[in-house]
Amino acid sequence: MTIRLAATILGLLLAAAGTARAEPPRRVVTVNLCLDQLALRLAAPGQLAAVSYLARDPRTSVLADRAREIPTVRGTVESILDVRPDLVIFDAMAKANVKRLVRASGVAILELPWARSLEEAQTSIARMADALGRSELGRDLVAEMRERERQLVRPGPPTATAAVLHASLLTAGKGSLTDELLGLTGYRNLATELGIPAYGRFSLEAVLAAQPDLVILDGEANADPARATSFVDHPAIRTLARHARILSLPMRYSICAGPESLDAMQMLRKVHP
Amino acid sequence: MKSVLALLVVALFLASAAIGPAWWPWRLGDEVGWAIVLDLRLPRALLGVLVGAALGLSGAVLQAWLRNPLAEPGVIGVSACASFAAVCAFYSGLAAAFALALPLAGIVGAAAGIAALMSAVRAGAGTVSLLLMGVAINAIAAALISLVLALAPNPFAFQETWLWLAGSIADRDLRHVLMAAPFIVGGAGLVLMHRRWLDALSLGEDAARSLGADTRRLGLWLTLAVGLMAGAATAVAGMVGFVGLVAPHLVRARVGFKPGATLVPSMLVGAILVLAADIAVRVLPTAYELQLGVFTSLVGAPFLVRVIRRAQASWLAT
Repeated sequence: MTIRLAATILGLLLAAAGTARAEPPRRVVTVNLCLDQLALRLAAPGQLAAVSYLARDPRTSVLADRAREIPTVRGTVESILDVRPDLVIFDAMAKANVKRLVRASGVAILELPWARSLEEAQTSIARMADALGRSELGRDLVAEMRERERQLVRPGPPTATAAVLHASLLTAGKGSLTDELLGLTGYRNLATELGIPAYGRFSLEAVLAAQPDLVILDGEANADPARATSFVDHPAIRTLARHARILSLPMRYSICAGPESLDAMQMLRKVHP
Repeated sequence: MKSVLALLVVALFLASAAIGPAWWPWRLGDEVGWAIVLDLRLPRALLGVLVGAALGLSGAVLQAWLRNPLAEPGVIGVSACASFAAVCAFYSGLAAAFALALPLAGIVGAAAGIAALMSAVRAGAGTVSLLLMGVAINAIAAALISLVLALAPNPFAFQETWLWLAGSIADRDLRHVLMAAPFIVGGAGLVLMHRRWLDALSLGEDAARSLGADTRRLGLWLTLAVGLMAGAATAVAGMVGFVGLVAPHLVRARVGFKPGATLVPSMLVGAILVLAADIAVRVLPTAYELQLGVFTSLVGAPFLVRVIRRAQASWLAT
């Protein structure tokens, strides 16, 4: 707890240092998929020197096309310093060692906490926009998110149950972004009702027994066969599909909290019974 | 004793089909309720019997053949080799191209592991050299698995393979049962056909030869048989450790320490252990299900410690 607090304070100090500078940074590097996608939306043309390699993968990133025009780095000190950045934006949970070495070589860093809700995403957007000298764009993006959220919220108590099945039958329980999105669009989250923690696992039997109204899975993932997603072809899921709605929510919409979360919200809203 | 054990297997099989987070799914009275029983619990119970029997019998064969009470597919690295081969089949796309590639790869890997072991350790070799060879084979297989994962194109590779290596028979379907059953049954048949010679082999290769055994051919048959059983079991269930170690120990004293006589009881005890462990992970009050292999290791590893302490220095010193 104290470590997280210290990291946050440190992050704030660094952010303050970032804004105090007259010149906005000219070569920015992000090394976290979620921060990559925010930076791709916020940075001025040419300002972003590199993003993480995951930002280019169309399975994980909604901005894979834009990321393809920018060099990529892995999370190692050498690959980061190689692109000669003047600001590196890290996730607060990234390896302390990497952050320390990057800072030691004289490059400014900004640490942003991992956003697990729409509000945390908006805080991250505002802080990143300030650090990039793009405060106004950040405010516009946050305002747009709030406006879309206002339009998509389904008022009243939840009237349907949804089960989220990610790869390896992992699910999103209480305290996760998906749990928040389900609540906003009028669903009870089965994982939360069963007391499964934010990133716990389901068993197929528990899902079938609860007879949810909606099953959310990534129907695209098993195109590249994986053990993790082979459950989408399980006969039990096929049987359940005749009794419940199935929403294929590609994982790129559910990994990060950000503007794309509202696209996920829209998909959820559209299939609400 | 065999009939009691067989009855226990039947009872646990039925319990496995009746127990789960949904408890009495037929109360749902519809297709979904029956899907829970037929598509989820039945394959699970069948795999529990098959995988448990395969591991129990493999352990009994290896312990008799190597004349070593610590021989077991997991400890000596046979399961790890099967896992490596299965991971290769999976990430090269072979398993997607034809379903049998997965168990076949597991079998080839397991047989290669046994062959590597036997090349360095002759039957009756000291426990220390056997275990050291096991450590080496396990380390090589684990490193090769990490290498394949680093090259794998799929973003879940590490997570899914870690979960699979931890061993589980949950959420499988009948395709998995059909994939593994012929090989496990075939391997078990091969072993039981040669059970007579196993008693001779447990006296040492020279003694077996003097009794008229063709030890070279026998070695090949047993390698194939254990490869078929351990390989197919690992391909569908991942690494379920310690069952092969524990099962023969539980029955040995009751059959008068005759290796040939431990085979069928070990097979039944193996099935009992896996079925019971798989029921336990379902009813344990964890937030989500523990992996089967994690549970068998939690219970089985202390058993290994006990075997070593009981046995004292006599055979460990060699």
